[in-house]
Amino acid sequence: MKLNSPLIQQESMYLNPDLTSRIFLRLRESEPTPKRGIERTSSLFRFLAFDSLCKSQKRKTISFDPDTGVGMGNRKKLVEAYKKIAFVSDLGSGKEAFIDNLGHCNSSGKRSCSDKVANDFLTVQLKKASQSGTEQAYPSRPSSLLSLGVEVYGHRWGISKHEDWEKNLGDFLADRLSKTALIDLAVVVTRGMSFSGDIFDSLEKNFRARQSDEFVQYWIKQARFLKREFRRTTNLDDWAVPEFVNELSADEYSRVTLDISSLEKANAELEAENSKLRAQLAELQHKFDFLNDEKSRAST
Amino acid sequence: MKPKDILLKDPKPIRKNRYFSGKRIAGLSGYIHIDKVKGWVDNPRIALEIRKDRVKFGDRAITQDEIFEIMKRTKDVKLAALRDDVLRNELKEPIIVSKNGTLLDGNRRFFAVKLLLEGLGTEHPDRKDFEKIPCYILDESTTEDDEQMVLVETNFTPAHKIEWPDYVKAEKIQEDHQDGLSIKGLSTKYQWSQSKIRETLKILELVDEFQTLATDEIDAADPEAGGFGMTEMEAIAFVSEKYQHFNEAQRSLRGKLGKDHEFTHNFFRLLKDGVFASFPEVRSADEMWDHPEARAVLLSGKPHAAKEALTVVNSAKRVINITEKAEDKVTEVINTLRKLTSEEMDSLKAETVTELKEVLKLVTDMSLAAKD
Repeated sequence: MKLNSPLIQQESMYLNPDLTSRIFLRLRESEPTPKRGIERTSSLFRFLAFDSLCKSQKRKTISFDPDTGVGMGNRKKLVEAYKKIAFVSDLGSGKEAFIDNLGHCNSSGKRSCSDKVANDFLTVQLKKASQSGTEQAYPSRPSSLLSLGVEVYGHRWGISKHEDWEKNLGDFLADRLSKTALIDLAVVVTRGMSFSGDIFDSLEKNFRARQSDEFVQYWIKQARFLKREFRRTTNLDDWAVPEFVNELSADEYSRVTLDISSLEKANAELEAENSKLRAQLAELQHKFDFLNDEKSRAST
Repeated sequence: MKPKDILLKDPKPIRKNRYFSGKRIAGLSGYIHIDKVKGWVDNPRIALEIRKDRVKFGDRAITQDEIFEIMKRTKDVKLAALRDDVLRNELKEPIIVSKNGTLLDGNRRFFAVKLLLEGLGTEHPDRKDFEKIPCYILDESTTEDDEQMVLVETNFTPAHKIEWPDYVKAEKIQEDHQDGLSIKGLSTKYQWSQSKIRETLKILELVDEFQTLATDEIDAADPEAGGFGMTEMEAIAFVSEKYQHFNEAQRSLRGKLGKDHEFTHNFFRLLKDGVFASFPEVRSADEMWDHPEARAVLLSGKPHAAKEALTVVNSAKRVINITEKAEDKVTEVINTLRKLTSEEMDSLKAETVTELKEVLKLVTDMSLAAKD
């Protein structure tokens, strides 16, 4: 199917799941450091989830006060918004597979999306900020996207976007295999939404439906300079499929997860083989140098 | 042909070991007839010039005569100056050749002598003197690795008259890295620190990013976001010339390059247009971009726009500095006054207190009036 084929003009086209998973995989860090990768992904997704809440509530600061009904409601909404971005598939028995590091899928079943927000973020980070008496920039590294402990109705349970979030957001997508991580992120985040017409117009439209105006403006401004590279590095021949493939269904994502696992396994095997060869090469080089030195000594 | 047979018999060659990168290499020291030397046709020093003529040569190997012509026209090689020096002082530093007579070090010297002989003509009485050149030839036992070691030692270390252009060195390092040589391996091979190797690879990443953009087509629908429409050769020539600007950008702008795509694209465009003339201008490009007034100047298309934008940024810094200094001084006075004990206050002279009152009134009145 070509980009401008008549089929694309139809309503309700959906992203090809193969394309989505390929794009997802290239969002991995170029020099993987799992702990750093997980930290950055969590911070980025929390920011995006919070931003979508700002959009739906038309507010810049939102209270997550556990002692008020509104605050508790907002906590649930934040978890839901996070889940929309990170959830991959239901593993049964209340367990779920989810994206905990861009380009990787955590299917251990030990943790869940709500752990990442309710436990780690709201109960630890925000609580600490609410008790500190001053606003806390979050995260502290590589740079900050949110301000925690912002005063709302006399209590410090509020969150707002950090004043430098636009300057800092690029830090969270730096050093990826992909050079178009900002567009790739949009593909992954809006993966379950319908598309029509041009892929970039659709990504913008879908982002606009979910994220705040200021975030969409930022995305448009930056993505404009990445479109050429995206087109060059992405096969867009079959980017859309006419029928809705529920990518959130267990089957589809099990397949994607499986793909990822098999790729990871293959990579690990290759890496092991490489290091074995490198060690052999170093040993041979060492022997060669030694023999050469001996030879030079003998000749003099 | 054996190495000893490549050298002239008179004066008699002397067996001699030399050290390169700490390794002892066996060889013979003597004189060689210029016709016995095989010029180094893959010399990276002139690789850029060769690429310019690639269309003319096609896929065939370039001959020594063609290299000679390229060397003659490449200004950076300064062949004529060296020829004049040889004519006045003869060639003192021996060239180094591999065991089969291929030049490893002394390409410029070799071609300078050829240029000199070309000028002298076949009948000149001194011709024979210049045809014999001092030479060190590697022993038969030497390997390709030994030759590589000589190459690196004589071209990557700073003790030599004209080193390879920085971009050419960087490209060679990147090439080896892409072939699988580790940072440690590169460091050993080129005798550069591991951090310098890492830095070089980062500069090349930036250069690659620029080249992709530069050689991309101009986008008629969105010219500001499209490529620059340069040919591959134009892009290579540009990055070679501006390599140190990329070096500076890699050091100073890493917080923004590749993360803020609007900035990155515009920075590359302005660099290509020659807006950043000096290193301080490159160094402060992010500050100029973040300052609305400076950014407007930078994008104005005026000649010396970056210089002017830098002035805007620096004066803004000075204003902030002066304001901060005044604030600090007043805070210090306030703190001093607050810490005064009752005895100290009692001890103040009446005229001092009056003066203090007047000063405080003046400062507060003027400050509030300015804010209104």
